[in-house]
Amino acid sequence: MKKSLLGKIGASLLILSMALTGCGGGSGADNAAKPKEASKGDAKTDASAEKKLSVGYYVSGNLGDSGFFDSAKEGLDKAEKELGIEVKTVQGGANQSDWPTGLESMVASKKYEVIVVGTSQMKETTIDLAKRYPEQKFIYFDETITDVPNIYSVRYNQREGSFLAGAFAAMVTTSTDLKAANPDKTIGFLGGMDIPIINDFKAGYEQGAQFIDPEVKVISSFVGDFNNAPKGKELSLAQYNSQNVDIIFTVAGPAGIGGLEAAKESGKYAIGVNSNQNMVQPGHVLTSMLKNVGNSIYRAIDLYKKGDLPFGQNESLGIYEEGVGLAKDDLYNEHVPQAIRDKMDELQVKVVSGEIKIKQD
Amino acid sequence: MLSSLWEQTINLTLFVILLRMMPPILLGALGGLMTDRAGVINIGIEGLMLVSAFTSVAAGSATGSWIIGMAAGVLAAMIVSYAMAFFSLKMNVDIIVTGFAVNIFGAGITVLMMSILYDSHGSYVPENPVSIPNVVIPFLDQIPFIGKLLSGHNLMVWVSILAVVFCYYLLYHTPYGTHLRATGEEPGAARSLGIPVVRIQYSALVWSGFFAGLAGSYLSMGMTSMFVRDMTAGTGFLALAVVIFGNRNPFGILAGSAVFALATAMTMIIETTPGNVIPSQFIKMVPYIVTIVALVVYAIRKHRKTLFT
Repeated sequence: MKKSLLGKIGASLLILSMALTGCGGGSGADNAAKPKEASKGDAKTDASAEKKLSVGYYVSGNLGDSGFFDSAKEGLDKAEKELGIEVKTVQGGANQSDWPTGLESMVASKKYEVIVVGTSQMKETTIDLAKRYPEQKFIYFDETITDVPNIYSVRYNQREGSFLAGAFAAMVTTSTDLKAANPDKTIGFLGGMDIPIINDFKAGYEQGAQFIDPEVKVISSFVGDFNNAPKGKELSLAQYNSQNVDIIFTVAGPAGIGGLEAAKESGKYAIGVNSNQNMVQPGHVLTSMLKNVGNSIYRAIDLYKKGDLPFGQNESLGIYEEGVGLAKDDLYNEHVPQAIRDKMDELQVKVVSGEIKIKQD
Repeated sequence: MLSSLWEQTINLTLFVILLRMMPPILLGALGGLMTDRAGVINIGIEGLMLVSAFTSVAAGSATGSWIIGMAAGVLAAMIVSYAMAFFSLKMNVDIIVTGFAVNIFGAGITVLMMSILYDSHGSYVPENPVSIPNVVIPFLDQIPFIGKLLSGHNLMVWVSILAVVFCYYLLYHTPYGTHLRATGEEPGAARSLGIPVVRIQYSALVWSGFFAGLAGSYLSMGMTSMFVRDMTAGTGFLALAVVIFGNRNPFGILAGSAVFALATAMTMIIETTPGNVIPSQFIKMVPYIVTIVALVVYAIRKHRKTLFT
């Protein structure tokens, strides 16, 4: 009896350690590499006797979303090389309840002069921490925070970007040059979750579509999370096959990649999101709506080093500031008819000049 | 909205979506069934499916053959389930704890391997995707109604239905099945009759790895041709609910999986209907409502049985 109990405990410990190593796997590779770099950096600073700007980046989730987390990381990597700062990235993992403590431990360590954090889910936590640790500076992306003296926030006007995506989709569905565009004036929208930020995309998309042709109908469906790629694909297939949708704007993170595959399988079109996804299914993903998170973070750090970063304020980056826009690469030039490309350029100029007003409500 | 639902029922769109959604639930549930009947219920189906989904798409796209991909996925899931059996049967770890560990392990190892092999933490879309083929039955697919009813479905749809018959035969018409059921009912009595209880439980867990492996390879090579972290999104747990809902019987499980797949297919259609006024949060509830209703029905049925006997 006693023996079997001991065996049980020993084995559960074994399992637990196995589970823990498995669990940490996702972030392990990145974290393990970082301290080495940091210590190398320390040695250098000791030698040159000047202190490097130390920046912490807290990812509320995991890298590899091919969306804004990765984009922000790219911006930080660029800043690390060109501006001579030190970046430490911490991935919070999928468990939301870990994030507040994770961020707080970063703040409390007092190792980072500036902490970069983002997304709508972290807003309350960051405001709370900023008030309790007034010395700590924050750069916050993808949300509006004002009146907190140690937070600078930058928001991307996804509504403007989605307006372009909607206008583009409406042009595709009414086009006669594109093979797979059917006469039905119906376009689709695939959202990750029914939450305010996704609905902001949707509102802009609908506005853009209506601007081109008021008769265009938008069909929208939501996956329910950002990972269920099979479901994202099924929902898109249902839109393509049963509702005569010929182009879908996928705003569903990794689950949206399922939607892009559905476009290929049914020979229709799709619009990618956040980063350039045109090459995921070439010829079917006609364009992508970009959010240039990386550039904005790079710019913010550059401004901070010069002492010009407006803390306590929010900046909204739209098409004019190149915070958002459509991905116009070689694939875009190859697969999108000249007429639509010209009209899109024209439209973009009009939005930038203020000739077309996008309702922000 | 109802008319659209009706229209899509008539033209079999609903049925086609249902068949596409069913195999992962059905195969996962059959895996759960084998272990449940042997008294070592495997709650790690979700983790096994993830391991297999990743291995399948990785091996399949590397070799360019879906058969090798599927075999590799199934093998990987069987190895993990064998390890489960080793820990729970040899090292006496509680089977629930082991299953839980496998779920965490599956979520972690797949992302780790993805970051090592493809330098991505989120998703992997192979450049030369391979997929399990669709079965097009010649001549039959020309007939309007019957063609859509029988032809053009993924091979795994047929495999999963055959697997139900196979499980039924195995459980009820072979000595092995009788021993397996006896082991699950009363291991002490089975042992006293000379049935190798531990060996049977080992095999049951490996069977669960086999079926969960098929389910996983269908997720990444049949329904889609990519791997996304945590792409199973609860299918493994749904499968366990189906085991209970299906009254721990292969054909009951087939019916149960069909009910769940129908619920999912219906949410798909309702959600993509133009002018749909039902909030998306409400539609998302449908599969869970079905779960609750299913469990209530099950409880009533069980209660009646005890009343009348």
